[in-house]
Amino acid sequence: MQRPAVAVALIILTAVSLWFGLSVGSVKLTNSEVWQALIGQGSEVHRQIVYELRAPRVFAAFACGGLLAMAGTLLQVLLRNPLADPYILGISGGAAVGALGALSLGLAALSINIGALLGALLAILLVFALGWRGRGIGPERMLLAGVVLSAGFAAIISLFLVLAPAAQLHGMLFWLMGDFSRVVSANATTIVLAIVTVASILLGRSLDVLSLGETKATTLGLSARPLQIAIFFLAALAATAVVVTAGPIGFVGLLVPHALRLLGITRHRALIVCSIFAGGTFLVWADLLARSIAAPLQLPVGAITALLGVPLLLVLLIRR
Amino acid sequence: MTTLATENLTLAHPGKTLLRDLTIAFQSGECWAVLGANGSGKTTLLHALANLRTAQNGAIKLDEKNVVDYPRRELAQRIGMLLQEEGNEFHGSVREYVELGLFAQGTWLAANPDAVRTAHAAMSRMQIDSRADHLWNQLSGGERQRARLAQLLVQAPDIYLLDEPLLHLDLRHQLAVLQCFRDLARVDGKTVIMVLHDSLWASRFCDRALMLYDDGNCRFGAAQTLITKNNLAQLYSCSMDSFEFSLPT
Repeated sequence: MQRPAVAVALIILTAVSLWFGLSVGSVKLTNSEVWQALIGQGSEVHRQIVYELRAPRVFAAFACGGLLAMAGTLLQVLLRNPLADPYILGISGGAAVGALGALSLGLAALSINIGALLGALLAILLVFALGWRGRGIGPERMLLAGVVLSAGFAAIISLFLVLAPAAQLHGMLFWLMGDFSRVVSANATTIVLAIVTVASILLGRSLDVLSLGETKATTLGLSARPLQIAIFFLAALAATAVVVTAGPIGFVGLLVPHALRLLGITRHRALIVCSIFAGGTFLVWADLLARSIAAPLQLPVGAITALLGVPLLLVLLIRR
Repeated sequence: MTTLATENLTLAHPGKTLLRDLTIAFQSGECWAVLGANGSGKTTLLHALANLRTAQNGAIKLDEKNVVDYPRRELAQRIGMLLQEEGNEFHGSVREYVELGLFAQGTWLAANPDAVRTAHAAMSRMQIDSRADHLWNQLSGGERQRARLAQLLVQAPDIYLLDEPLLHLDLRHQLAVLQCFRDLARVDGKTVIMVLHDSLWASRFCDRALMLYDDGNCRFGAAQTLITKNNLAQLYSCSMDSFEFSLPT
């Protein structure tokens, strides 16, 4: 592991953040009350608050943050572009069209998630088909395909927003800006996090080599094509899991890999592991702020990630 | 004894035949210079030899087996290549960059302590060891070129394909690089095939030369007899009379 101090600091920060996430809210719990609730003791109300209200939200935020940061790391290697983030491939746009379509039909929450999933899958298939060039994935072609698809989806989203009745507009806007308030379980997102983490760590060495460019990597003995396909679908799986869970949340996938590289984490195996802790922690704090600074009003977490992320990245850039 | 050979190799770009019916064998211990005008197919030939592109006709065989039939990793252990243009996007240190050459051998730093010594020896051979802990993107063009060559030394193939290895290098480092690869051929019995634009260096450091002409034909043989003023004038379609070369006429 490169820079063990950074990794240790991130793990401690993660533990503190998760604990803080469980104790802070409209009902403030003391450390001992959180502990009692976690081990199944203490009052019934406290156990309900911790297990049913806060834990799913906090762990979903952590998993989503980790997934976004990993997807950003993976796509920056695949597309060889520092501006690549999990949504550059149009996945959020496709999911948004699906979700807003379900919302406009007045369907229930589960159908909205299914709509988002179908929209994301459509976007993934389209961008993959358009980005494929005979012998492998063409990074520029895929980027362009993603940008064009995103523009198309953005146009459809605008139409949904303009044509939606006022009663649906608030829900649609919240969905579009990312929101953890509708999360009831973190299980699915956590499973996806585990799958993407294990696969990405196994690919770590190959990612280092692929970052030298496809041709150079090939001369070093890497079979670039299957690796590119694996990276694409892992990143797509991560982005889809997040967008279905909480809607599109920008900036985490762009910010975290760059911030970690600026802190000296450059090998991909270390970068992937640190991405999970840094991205997860970042989103836990963003969600904490979203639900507490204007409580009882909840703010969209996507706005908070950008508000926090822009100055953070600027400070790191200036210090470097 | 390693032999990389082409049989009736034809390479073409759309609308232009670069190389026609080339049959040649590159043997262990030989240091080759590939010479030719811009666009004559030197890079394309090296890419074909490394199985990075397919030939229009003919075959390329490494020890009697077609290069396309080698698994990628095995081929990387036999043939290493310095590309003319390699990416400049690398966020780690020079040491980490050079160590990536170990990927071809299937070894990795943690698994093999010898690897650390291998990487250090390669960096010191390319005189880049003093910059080992600097970030790759802080290096100058010449330093990056030496780091790329050090990575190739770590890869340790039997055959080195070098596409313009002297790019960005000052005189001192040009000589160091040429000497290093000549020794790899003469002393260690490796095969070195390099694209050079400096005919003087080609005649001094290489024992074999391959000249690629614009019409798709080529000539090859001993460097000393092939690299002459008259042949160069014909190869590059220019007059050499006004220049003073210390070359055989």
